[in-house]
Amino acid sequence: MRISRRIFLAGSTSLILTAPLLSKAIAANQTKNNLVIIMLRGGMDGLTAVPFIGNNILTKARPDIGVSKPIPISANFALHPMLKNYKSLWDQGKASIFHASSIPYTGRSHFEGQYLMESGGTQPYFDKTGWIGRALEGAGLKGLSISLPMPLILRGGKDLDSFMPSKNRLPNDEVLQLLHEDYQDDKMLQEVLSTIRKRPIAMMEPKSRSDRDMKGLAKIAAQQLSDPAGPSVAIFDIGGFDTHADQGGDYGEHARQLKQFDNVIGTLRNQMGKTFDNTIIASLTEFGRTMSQNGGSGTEHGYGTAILMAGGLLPKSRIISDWPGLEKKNLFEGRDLNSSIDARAVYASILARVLESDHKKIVKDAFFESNLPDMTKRIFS
Amino acid sequence: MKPRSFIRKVGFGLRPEEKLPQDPLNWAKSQMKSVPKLIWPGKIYSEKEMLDIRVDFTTQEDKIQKTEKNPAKAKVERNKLYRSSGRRYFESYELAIRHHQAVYGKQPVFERFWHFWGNHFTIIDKNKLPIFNTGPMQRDQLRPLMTGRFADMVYNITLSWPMIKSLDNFKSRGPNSKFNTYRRAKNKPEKGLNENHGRELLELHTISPNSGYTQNDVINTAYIMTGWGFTDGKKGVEGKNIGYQGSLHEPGTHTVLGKKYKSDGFSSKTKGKNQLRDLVENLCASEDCRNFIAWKLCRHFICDDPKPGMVKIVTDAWENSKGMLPDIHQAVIEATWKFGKSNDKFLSPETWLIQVARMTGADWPGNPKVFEYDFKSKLNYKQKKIKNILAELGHLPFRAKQPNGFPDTKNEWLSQEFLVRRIALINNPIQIGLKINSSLIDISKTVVEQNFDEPEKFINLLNSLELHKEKSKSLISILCSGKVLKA
Repeated sequence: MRISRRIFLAGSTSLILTAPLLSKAIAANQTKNNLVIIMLRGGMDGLTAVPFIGNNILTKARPDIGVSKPIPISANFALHPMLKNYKSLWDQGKASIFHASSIPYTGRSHFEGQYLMESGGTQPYFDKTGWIGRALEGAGLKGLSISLPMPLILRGGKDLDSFMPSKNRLPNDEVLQLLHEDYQDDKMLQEVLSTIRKRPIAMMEPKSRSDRDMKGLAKIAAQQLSDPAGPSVAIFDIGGFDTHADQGGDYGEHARQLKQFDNVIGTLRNQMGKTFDNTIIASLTEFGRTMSQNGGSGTEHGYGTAILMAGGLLPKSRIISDWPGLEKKNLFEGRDLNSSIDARAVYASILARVLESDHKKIVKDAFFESNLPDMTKRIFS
Repeated sequence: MKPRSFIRKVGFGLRPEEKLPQDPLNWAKSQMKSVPKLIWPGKIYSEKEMLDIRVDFTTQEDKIQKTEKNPAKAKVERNKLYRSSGRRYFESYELAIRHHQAVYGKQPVFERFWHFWGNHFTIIDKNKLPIFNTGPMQRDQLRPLMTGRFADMVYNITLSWPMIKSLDNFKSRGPNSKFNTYRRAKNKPEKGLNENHGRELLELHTISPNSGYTQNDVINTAYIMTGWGFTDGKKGVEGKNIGYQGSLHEPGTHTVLGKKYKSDGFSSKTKGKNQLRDLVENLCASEDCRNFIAWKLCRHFICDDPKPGMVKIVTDAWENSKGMLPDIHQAVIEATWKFGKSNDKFLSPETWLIQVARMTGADWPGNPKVFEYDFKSKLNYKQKKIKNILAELGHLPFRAKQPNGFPDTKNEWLSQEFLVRRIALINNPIQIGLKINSSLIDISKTVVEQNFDEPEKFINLLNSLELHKEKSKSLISILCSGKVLKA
């Protein structure tokens, strides 16, 4: 699989793995559930990934960037032709889509939006921890991130690690011990170093560059998630969805990024084996895009988008939506697909299912809310 | 602040042969008054030359794609072109000029501010911009603007070639422009507005979302910006020249944040041209802009969470000088001197790497002669290593993926993998131009004596290591210490 440079966002593609400290699942001799979140940065266009085909209103608004060969999955909706692996899961009853949904943010800034999609709060740059980090902390799980940075979405947990294969070698532990003593006045630095020193030997070995492409990372994720004592959450980070110009339709920029998303899902599906049965994968983006194309055959920052879910934990394939419609009066501020459901409600229900935790507790711990609608029945029954 | 810590906080630390300035505050402030000449002894390609090279490259690449149908032959042709055009060479070369200046230059504090502004006006990593355009623009345009007004910097960088290219404004057209009115009359599909650049001008370059602008303000900013693009580009593709085309401009008066912008001029070619200048002037004169930029500067130099007292020193200087950058820069330096604490700011990978090179006296980024290239051969290890090392550290300065640039706080730059890579780099010091047969303990001691205000503890540590004749251990214990990772 060829990896586009553009997939590397903010310095890296990240894939975050979280490992249970003391897995409740193993203790109870149950099967471990897994969650994979694929972050799609730049504003993923839900109307390109899952176009509305009930009438021609969308194709009229997008003469140059419409999806001309959509794959119908219901009377009203279709999949983008690049979502081949996803379609095959759909046919197996292992994929569901929440359409017309967004995090509760309408400011149309990427950076505020991305902050909120990771922090789970409602005030940009305010919360210093992420919704998954907090949920895992509450569940007593530790995290490993395969990325250069430690992404906000995972911060707040304990014993976090970040990892990307590299060809360089660390010095022996005697040298690291010297640094450990030096870092005693800086708790954060000392914790980071402690995790490095506890890494298994396999992680310390020099790695070649080819291990760093998305396929290599997806394979690592699949292996780790398949390990009963391994992590139970993995997060991917794919960029390049901010298509203000030359968005393309069946092909082009947005299609290329959707293919990357689809490739991750395909690799996970192929490599996870039976573990896939206990897994749920979900997309996450900061906002959707305008319904109509703009001056540069692209789209502008919008609001509502789609959450694409896949995995064996889903009981069947379906579109879940309180569809607001695409007529001008139904659009948000007359231009964007509206959001009829707070995306955080969807993620809270997914988290509760995967962590087998109380929905109310997740809503409070992960999203600081006292009440988010419980989507469990709509997704899992 | 203590002098040696201060020099690392606003600069890159002292070289082994440098003397501690008697008056560090004035030493730093005086560097802001003039633009230091680039000391790179090799050829320096102008932004214009690099644009010509880019255009030649893209023209020839297109030609290969169109004419050579045999994939194997096309690959050979492309490879030849990559070498003859410097496709794989120029980014390393530009990084070498930048690091050479920071490591050997006499105005390191100026260089720190230059790096700050380069990241503030991020040109994102797309369309080969990091290879041919971003560095040259920062050298030729951004750098000379640092002794003028902030508003002039914003205006000129907004209209710089790579910014117009990367944020798509050359594709934006007023819905009621002459161009679209004509198309409507001819029943041709309209080509409308592109909000991308307008939004970032407000959000990232000037007033930030804290100012409370609305979507309507974004749209009106985009209207004001219509017409600015490539004057010689055909069918919405890039050209060589940035200019104004009145026929693409959205006519009429546009309102941004309650201020009305009328279009001056009678000639249809220039009508509306004044609006962007007027808008930028007003944005830069606003309190929101002062607060945002001053806060960002303080965060870069002093600490992750600057206090109002620090920011106020900068906003006051801004107001008094009407936005003159030397005054603003000097105020940042003063605020750092007054409020800065040592070990309070975690350094970005690139700043840390440059400090390491400067303080150790390493042969970094390498002898400029090494970077001479015949445009025929494969690049050698020494030519590629600056780019490879910065990539490994996660901080290639011309390759931010999003227009908000690289982050600037400890939470973003401190992770296990980031730290592993810094330690691993120093574990193999030959990579940064330190000879392993030289006395690494002596080098480490020089770093400590020159740059630590309280060197005793570290000198004792190094003395204890000397007995064991450790090699890179001494260097790691200093260069990866909390003191050097932070400033």
